[in-house]
Amino acid sequence: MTSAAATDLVDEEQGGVVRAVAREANQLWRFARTQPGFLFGLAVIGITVVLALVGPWIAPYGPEEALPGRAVLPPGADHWMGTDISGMDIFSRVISAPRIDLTIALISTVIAFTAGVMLGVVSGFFAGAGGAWAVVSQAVMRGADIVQAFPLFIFALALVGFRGPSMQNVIVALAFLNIPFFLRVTRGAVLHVRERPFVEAARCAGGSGLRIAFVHVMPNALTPALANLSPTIGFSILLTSALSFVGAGVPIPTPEWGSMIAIGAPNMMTGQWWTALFPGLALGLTILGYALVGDGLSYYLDPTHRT
Amino acid sequence: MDCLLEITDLHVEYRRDAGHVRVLDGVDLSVSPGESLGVVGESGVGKTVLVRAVLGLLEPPWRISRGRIRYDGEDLLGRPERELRAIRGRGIALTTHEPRKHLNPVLPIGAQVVEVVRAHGDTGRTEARQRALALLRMVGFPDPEARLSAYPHELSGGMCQRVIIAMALAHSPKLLMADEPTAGLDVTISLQVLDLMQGLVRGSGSSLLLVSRDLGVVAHYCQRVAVMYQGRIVESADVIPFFAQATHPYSRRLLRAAAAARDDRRGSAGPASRRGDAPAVGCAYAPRCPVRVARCSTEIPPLAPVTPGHLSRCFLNADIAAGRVTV
Repeated sequence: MTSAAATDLVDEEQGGVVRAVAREANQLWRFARTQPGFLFGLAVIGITVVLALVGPWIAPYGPEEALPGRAVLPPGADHWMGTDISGMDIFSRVISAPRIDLTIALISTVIAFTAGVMLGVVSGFFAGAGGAWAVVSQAVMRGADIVQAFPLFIFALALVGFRGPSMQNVIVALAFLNIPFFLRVTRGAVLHVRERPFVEAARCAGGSGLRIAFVHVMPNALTPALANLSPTIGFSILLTSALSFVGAGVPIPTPEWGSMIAIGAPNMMTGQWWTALFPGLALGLTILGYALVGDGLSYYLDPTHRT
Repeated sequence: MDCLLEITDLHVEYRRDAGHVRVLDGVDLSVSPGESLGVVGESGVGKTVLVRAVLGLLEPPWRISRGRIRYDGEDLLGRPERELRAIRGRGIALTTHEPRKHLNPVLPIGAQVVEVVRAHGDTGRTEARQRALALLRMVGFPDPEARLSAYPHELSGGMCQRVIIAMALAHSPKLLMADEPTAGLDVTISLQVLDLMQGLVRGSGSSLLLVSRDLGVVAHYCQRVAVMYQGRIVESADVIPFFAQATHPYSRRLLRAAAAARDDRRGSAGPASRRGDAPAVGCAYAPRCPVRVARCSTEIPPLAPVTPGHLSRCFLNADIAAGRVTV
């Protein structure tokens, strides 16, 4: 998806591409071995992905099952992380939550990445040009300003007010929030790349504007957006939880870290620390892991650090 | 006129907040079909801007303020981008210096050559690939089948230059403009590249406009020479008359400096010029000229014939040619 046109050109060289991918993977692994933080992040991503796939099935109790007479039990052999006020097993809920949190974060980030990069390439490549495209470029930037000027929580609450709390609404709200971010980092890279000689060479050869923008400029301007992909997923998980915490996100009792913290917060005041601590820890470690991968990748993708 | 490319009175400015810099200041130049023209001049006299102007690649803050560029009998200036695109690569092609920077670093070279082949007309995938292989073979690229998937950073400068030449010749252009094709290449590779380019251009009957700072290269590969100085053509002549009896003081001192450098002696065309040194009125070379007269700083000398076909922009043409004034 990232550079459909470019791979389109390359696909005649199937063998070459496979070889290049293998070489890249090998290089990435050699890099990862020297970076403990990066490895930790990769492990976190791996675990969350596995849990998103099978979490609810391997959970010892149903994640939405309220056990009668077992409310607010402390951690023990039966309930490793204790139970909450409704008698739901916290461990089961914590490992089931990635299915919701990760899905929301992934879908919203992919939407934001795709739309943001496309808009960033167009607005950057045609910035300062004449004609209709310059108008488009300006319009895109002003649109981004408007979206960014609008507080996320107000936007999400308004959406929920209109359509009721649901996963779709959270995805839409987060995607909108993240588009301007990807747009700006891509636009910045494009403004730099479009001045490089090979872009002019492509014009010399008689290439058209849009083709040059997407075949020649975009693949060279993806690095910042790619490096921000992972932290954005982590941040989206945090925001999903935050929205659920204030009741504008995923409806209770769906297992979701933010809403679990919200449910557990009153118990925490009265000494039942486990109700909010475990989902909070899971949330914190996950975001840390995604951010570390983003960090590692941006270091890895920086050509001056390549060996 | 039977000229392939005819540039008349071309003025190009670079606009800045503080005012405009005149980069080209009335360039007159023509290339006939099948001819090889060498444009020589020191750094910053506007050689590269000239070739970019011909292809319509100048964007703000560059501006063509006056003049006319005719290609194959038709005006190029003011044409819509779509029509220019049809001419770029097919009618007029450009090879650049710093070849590696002019290749996309994230695409294999095969894909880039194929793209150029497919940029004009509708060539099928397989056909374009075959054509790309043929082009690479033609420019002496060793083992092209295996190297189609190589990335530019995996190739040497000479190989990158060959790829650029292959791309430039993909549509058998009527005019090939080579902007310092040998900058950054060592002497043996330079010769290979130039021989190759000359052979291919001659073989197809195309014209060549060779921009260079190397007088030796121009003497060897061109039929005609145009010397540029501070945005103007100061002398233009056939190669043999030029090297035998260059008339303009700048050309003369340039030749002497080149000869001195070859013999490992010190020689100079006068103190180095700097952008902005050129006076607003009069001959641009006047401040450095050893034989200037009063007129030189108030009037621009015309590009006047010394002998038929040999033009020089100097008031003292006749005196210098006759040896009454020695430079």
